[in-house]
Amino acid sequence: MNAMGKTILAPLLLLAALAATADRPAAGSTPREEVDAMLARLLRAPESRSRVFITRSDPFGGPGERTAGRLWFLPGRGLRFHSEERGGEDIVVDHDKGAFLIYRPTEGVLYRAEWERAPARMRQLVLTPEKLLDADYVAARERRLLGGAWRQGYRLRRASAGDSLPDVSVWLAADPRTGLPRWVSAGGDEDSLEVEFRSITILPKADPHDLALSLPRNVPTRPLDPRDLLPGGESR
Amino acid sequence: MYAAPHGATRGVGGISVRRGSEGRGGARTRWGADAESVAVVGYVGPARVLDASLQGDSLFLVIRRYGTGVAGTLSGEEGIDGRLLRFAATPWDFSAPWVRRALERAAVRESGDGWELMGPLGAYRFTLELSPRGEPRSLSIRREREGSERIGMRYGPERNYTAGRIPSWIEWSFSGSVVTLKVEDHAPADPAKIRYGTRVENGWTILRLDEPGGRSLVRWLLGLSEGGTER
Repeated sequence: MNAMGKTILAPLLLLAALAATADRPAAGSTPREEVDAMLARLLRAPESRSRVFITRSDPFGGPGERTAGRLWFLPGRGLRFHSEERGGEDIVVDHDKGAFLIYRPTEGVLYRAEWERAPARMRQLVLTPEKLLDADYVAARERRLLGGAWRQGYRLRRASAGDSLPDVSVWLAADPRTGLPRWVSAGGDEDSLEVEFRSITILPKADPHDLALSLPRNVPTRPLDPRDLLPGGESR
Repeated sequence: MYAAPHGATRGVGGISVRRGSEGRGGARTRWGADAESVAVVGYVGPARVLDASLQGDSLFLVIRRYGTGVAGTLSGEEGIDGRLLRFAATPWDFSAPWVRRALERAAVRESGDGWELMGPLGAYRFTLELSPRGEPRSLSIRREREGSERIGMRYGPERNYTAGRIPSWIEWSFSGSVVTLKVEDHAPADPAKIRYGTRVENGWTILRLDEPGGRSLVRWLLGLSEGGTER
């Protein structure tokens, strides 16, 4: 179980799997068009920053678990997730630097791999989000009780949440103040994931420094290549 | 108490792994256990990275991160069968009939301020150290007719959980690896919520346990050397 942190980037992968193609109308009257418009703002931005709160259910019926972190997404360049949990990971995929990095403070080690070693879906999300945007979904308006209030959102069918939740039922809702995605929940037949994107900031210009890790001095670097130990298999 | 029959349980804990000079790692884990079966899910952050289950001798295991897994029947040819692996996975649970029988037939002697039980456990031999109150302190399981330790377990102090008192931590030592589980929750479970096996997604590679690649994957995950499991 060497520190091959499967990314905490499920929220972005989730969004990517749900999102509409970039050339779709930015606004419209159908639920599908409204969802497209909501997501396109995020995916077309030079950079977005956000705090995220991720709640994962217990597949065996126990209480769920919540994780807080920060997310930087630079379409065309890379993304980074910084867990705010004690000992949480810092994960970066940076196409321009050709790097896939995971820093785990509990181990005091920076794991480094080539860009090509990053999960395929993550690479697609960064480089060509429109290719990840599966247009084959149907949106329907649906209100749900979330955080003590009823929220107007959209239930999406036939969406895939990436490697974490197959065959999921997905619901998402915008922040009424900004119109940007705020709540996403995805439930499979076994467990569920709820993500709240809080305080999304859209930047007019990307700042690649946001992909830089702040590491203590003399942190050793090790390769992140567990797949070399396995008989084949591209990461997804 | 550890050997008392009970219903299905679930648990949550933090796992840390040390592998000799290869460094350490960690993950969160949740599990559900019912009779001779157990299912385990591993997480890094909120991401589900590993599913494993054991139903009798039937093993299923997948690393979601890499879409690679293994499935098959433990034949015991390498000295590991399903019920031993099941017991070793939750070694605070002595309720399985074959384990209870082994305890009842074990030789008992005083050891320090506690007790030591020794005897056969299927095709293996075990040594269990107990405190004066009967709490497990350590357990070693090795193959019959072999002197080297196959797997060793140490138990932390007991803690009271919803499903009863069990050790607050367990440490497994085998083949140069040390795995420590800190138990955070141990509660009764609905057996219907414990799923064994996972829907295999398109693109996943599930190797057969009886082919070399499958065995390599299991060995790699368990931190076992290619040459064998002994120290």
